Amino acid sequence: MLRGAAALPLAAAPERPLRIACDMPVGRIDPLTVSQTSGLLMLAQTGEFLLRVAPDGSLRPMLAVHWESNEDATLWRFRLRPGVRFHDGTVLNAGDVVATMDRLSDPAQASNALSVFRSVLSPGGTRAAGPLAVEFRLDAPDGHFPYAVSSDNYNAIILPAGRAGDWEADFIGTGPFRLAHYTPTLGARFERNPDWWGGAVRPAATEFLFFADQQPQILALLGDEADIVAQFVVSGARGLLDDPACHVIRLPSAAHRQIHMRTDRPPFADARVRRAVALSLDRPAILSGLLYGQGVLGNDSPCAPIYPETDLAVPQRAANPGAARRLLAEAGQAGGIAATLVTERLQEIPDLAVIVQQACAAIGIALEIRVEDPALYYGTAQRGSSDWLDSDFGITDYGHRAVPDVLLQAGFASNGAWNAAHFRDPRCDSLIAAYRAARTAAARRAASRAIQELLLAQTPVIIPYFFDFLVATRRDVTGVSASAIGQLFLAGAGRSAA
Amino acid sequence: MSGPALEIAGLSVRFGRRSILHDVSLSVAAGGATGLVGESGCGKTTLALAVLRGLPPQAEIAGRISVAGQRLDPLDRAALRRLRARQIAFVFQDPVRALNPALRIGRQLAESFRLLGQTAQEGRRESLALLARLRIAEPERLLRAYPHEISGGQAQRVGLAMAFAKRPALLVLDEPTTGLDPDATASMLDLVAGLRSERGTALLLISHDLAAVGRSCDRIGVLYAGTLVEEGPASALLARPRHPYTSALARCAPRGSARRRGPLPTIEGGLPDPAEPPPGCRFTPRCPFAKRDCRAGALPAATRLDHVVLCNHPDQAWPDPPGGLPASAPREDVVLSAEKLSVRRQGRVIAGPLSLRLRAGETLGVSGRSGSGKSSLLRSLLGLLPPAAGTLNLAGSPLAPDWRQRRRAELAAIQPVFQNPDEALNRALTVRAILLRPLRRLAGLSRAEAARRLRPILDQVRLDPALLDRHPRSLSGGQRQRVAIAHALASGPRVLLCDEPTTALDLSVQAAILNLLVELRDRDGLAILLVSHDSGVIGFLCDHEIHIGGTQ
Amino acid sequence: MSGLRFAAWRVVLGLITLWLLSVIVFAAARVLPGDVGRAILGPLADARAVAALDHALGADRGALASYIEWSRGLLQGDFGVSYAYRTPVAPLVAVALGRSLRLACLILAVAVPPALAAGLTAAHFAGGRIDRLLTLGGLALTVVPEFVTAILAMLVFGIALRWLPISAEPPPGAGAGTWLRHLILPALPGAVALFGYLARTLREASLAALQSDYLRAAILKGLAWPAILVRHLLPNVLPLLLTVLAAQLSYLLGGLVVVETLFRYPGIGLLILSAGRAHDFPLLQASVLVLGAFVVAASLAADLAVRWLTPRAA
Repeated sequence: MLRGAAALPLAAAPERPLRIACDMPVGRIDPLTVSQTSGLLMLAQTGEFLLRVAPDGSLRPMLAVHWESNEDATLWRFRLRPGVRFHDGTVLNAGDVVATMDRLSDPAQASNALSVFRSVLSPGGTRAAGPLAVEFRLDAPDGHFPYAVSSDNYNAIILPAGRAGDWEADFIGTGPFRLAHYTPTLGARFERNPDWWGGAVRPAATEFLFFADQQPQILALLGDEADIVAQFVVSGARGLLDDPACHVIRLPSAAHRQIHMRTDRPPFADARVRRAVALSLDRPAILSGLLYGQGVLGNDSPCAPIYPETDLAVPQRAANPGAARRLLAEAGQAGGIAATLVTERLQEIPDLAVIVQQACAAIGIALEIRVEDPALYYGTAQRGSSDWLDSDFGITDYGHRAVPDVLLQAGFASNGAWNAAHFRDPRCDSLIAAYRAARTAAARRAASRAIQELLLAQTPVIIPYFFDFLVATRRDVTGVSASAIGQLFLAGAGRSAA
Repeated sequence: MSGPALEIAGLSVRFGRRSILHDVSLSVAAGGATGLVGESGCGKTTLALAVLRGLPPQAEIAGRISVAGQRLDPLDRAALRRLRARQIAFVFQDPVRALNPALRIGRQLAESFRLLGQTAQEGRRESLALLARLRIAEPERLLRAYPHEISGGQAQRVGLAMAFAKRPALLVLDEPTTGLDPDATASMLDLVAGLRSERGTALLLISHDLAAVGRSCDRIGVLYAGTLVEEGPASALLARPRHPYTSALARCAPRGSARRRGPLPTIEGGLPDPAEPPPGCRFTPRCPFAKRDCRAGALPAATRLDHVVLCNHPDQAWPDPPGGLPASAPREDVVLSAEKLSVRRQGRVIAGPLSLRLRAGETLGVSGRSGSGKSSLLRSLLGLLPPAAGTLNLAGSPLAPDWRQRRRAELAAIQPVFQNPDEALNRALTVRAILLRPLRRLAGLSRAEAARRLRPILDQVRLDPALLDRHPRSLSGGQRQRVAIAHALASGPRVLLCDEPTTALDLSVQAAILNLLVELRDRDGLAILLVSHDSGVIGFLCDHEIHIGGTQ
Repeated sequence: MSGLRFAAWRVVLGLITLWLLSVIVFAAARVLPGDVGRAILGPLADARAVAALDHALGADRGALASYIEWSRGLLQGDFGVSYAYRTPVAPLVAVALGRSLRLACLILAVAVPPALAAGLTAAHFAGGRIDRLLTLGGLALTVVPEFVTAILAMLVFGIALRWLPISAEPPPGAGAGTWLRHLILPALPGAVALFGYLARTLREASLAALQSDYLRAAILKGLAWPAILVRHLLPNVLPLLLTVLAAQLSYLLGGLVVVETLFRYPGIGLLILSAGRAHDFPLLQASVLVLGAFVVAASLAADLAVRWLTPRAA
């Protein structure tokens, strides 16, 4: 009864579905393999996670209601929400969670979550400790482990134990919406799940419209053929920021561009040279010029200001060409350096490359720019056959993570898979381990500060800015909840009757 | 019918600065026939189109034209269409191209009858009757054919059938006899005459062939550079041409034998630039009788009875060309011979077996109706069309029937000259490049030697060396044929095989080319085999004649 | 008989063309950097996952082996399974091609009649003001990128005036009227470009025909202008029109990626593009080959029609 009453004002007119313009998912939408933003957006419509990351970065219960760890953060216990049903009517239990996590952590499966679970969770590490209790026994201590089973690990929607590869047939999950139909390359329609554990679902239906490019999504919004644009980048959509018909939801994020310099060979083997490059950049000007201010300054470590553990007292690096030239002279490079800057053709990155080129020219470093198609730039993503990992100097895009653990481990640990700078520093390795194992906020903050300072001193990478995650809606759309990795939670969303 | 079928008064046509017709007055009596004679480019076709009001919109037209008593210029579109549909008929110079290639003959013919308000069935019946009247053997089959499937002669009859479908007051024929052999010309003109008298149709016959015009017209007008220089009764005008140009035209038609009468008279020079016609008489630059008074002001029209001439110094005979070579007798050595040659085309023997001998300094004429195999014989001698049987001999040694098996010296020794130099010459090349090729490839000369040989060859064909770097399309028809002859001479041949070499040329130009061939034969001792349908040309040039086709 | 032999010979040539095309696509797909597992899982994915996915898809086999297997499947009418979508390729291609065909047909319907009219009119008034307007306008229209026309049309008719929807795909179950309404704007950019090109080509052809003896003969015969156009000019311009249209078909079907992108109309062009990006070899092969087959078939049909229309060539 109460539920019905809540829905009353909306039921006045035959309800139009909420229309969301988004990027076209290319290929099968499979929770195991999805890696594109458009795909993870689909997962989150019908699927749910054990936990959900709130806009402030903290964790909230979703399918799990309680979680705790042992003393050294190697064993984690989760208690599941009782009475949750999948869309086919079966009741969620611990076995579903075990099956889901075992699959996602299995190196023999094509799991996109493997980079999160690497040396954290292995198959068999997840066990049912009762019908609604799950235990995770980790390969190494991890104080941030709950994030690995939250919405931040976007592949980790909980599926019924028996289900694996054919998810695209029905998008089965426990969420507020059920699949009505899905047409690859064109769109998907979802309908309200009246049995949702979370209570009333505001839209009767949502309709996702797939687009191969950003511009038509914005045109669709302006033409009132869409209510929401799931995500947009500010380059090419400047006008949306002050369009009176639209509303822009800004989510601070840890998404950034990483400018790496090979620390293991000249010309950037000397940390003074790397610092000089970092000092040549006028970051506030870059932020306003490239991103129209839709972001925050970066301080050359992945410890973004949004992370609560990040120590904001570490001084922000500012442009200082004079100091940069002195550093180069000290390093014996006063005569100038020539190098090639390799990067990918993506959003504002080529423009950033030109800015870096000009800034470097001012301090005597001559850069030649090579902009490549992303597929060519990443290559096999293995050292020896990847311009990303092999180049002396490159710019790479990194998406948002709710916690920096994977960014630190993969990007800066000596054996890190994404360590394009070839940075090897035993102290850094142990600091990262300490950061990940820390159980208290204070311990983690201390580790974070040490990492921030070490990376500033060594400067294997330059991170000039972190950019905001942007969602655009029609002005009268309310109740949209988004995450900075690209999920939209629309159970409470709708157009106010105006 | 009262009044003339066509009356033209003071007609001038300009295209921008170019004066194409200047103050032309001419009339064709009802049922009468007037011929209009002149070289190509003198404005004949423009006049014909003006009579049909068919000139493009950018033409500036002054003067008055009436057809069957009706002034053309005030007619609106519908009235003009009616006039064209019923009163005036026009048969194009190239009858095949005047037929729509995408439509069957029957449809195109039927259209002419439908215009007169007849039903399809009536049209078909009349088409068949008319075609039969025009002596088409299988009219039913012709109606089903597409234009590319019929011969030029048939197409011309189709054109005539369309013209006579409407019993027109005036028929305009544009160069109807070009390319026809004398028999065909005669029979065509007879057919036209018959139909005309039946239907009371007047004729405006446009031609460069004075003889043909003389045969079918009662009056003749002579057009030169856009002006009507002479007009009068056909018999009087042909017997005693009064204008020097008419006189020249009449005299440069080949008659008799060159060996006895010497070279033909020619008209030196060319037509004036229509953008800057000479003041006064437009013929002045080429006229041997021109005096100062010819170059200034308007000319008096001298009229004797109804014979008008536009000339200050009329009634003078056009002079013979100076000298000419002493007549030389053919030599004894046989250069090229064929024994019992059977000419085969498309798997069918079409001529022969025939034998021929060609001596140095001798001309052999080959005559015959169109389609009799004249050109095929020539191609057989060249090795392009290997014969079904027979043997060939070049200077006493056997000659392979296929050119691919001939040695280079043999290829160089026998060279062709074709009817249409436009098609024979590579348009992309300059004259120099065209002539250098055979010098290098066939004569086997080095680059420097070949370049040195150019000049003597040009002198041989009397071509200005300044033309070496021009492209064929920027040359006149006569110059192009000289280039083609020079091309043939470049390899140092002993035999020239000429296939209707002057058919596409104006009379005055033809005379010059024929004189050149005589010169090459008599001075340089070339053996020439000449294929022609024109008995005048053969008679002028040839020592012997073989006739092929029909009875052997 | 000669027509049949001609057609048979052209079919054989077409099959050889398509086979060469498949080899080229195959070779190109091998040369492209990266692999399908990496393309699906993204650059940051764990190498073990990429290897597992490549293996599961069968994308880790030798080049020749996979081509041979693919060819064998094709000969049995099986286009294979898409790497990226992991579903049979044929329905994916069929749906995309269907969209592209509908769009192409609409473009032809919108562009050809006015282009014909414009071309004939311009030729009739050659050198006049209308002719200059049409020639210059036609040229301008061909050089304006589809992107610009499309955006302009969307902004004006879709957003400012709200006359037409800017999304090409009608709601499910819509009738023909709605379907047409949705496809009008998307057809516009291609139609405008095609109109410009066709009008100028047809003008040249009509002008040549108008200056021919047979057309002058038709005029001097006293035929009315409509009869001249329909009976004498059109049959001689039609072959060129058909040839040009057949040559433009690959553009109309596969070359309108910009339009497909802007109007959310995923046709064969976008399918080829995204299959290439995703390293989806079976999908890429099938979509390119089907498009190629259509183009080859269209050019064959045009040639046969031209032979039929121009008796000379037969």
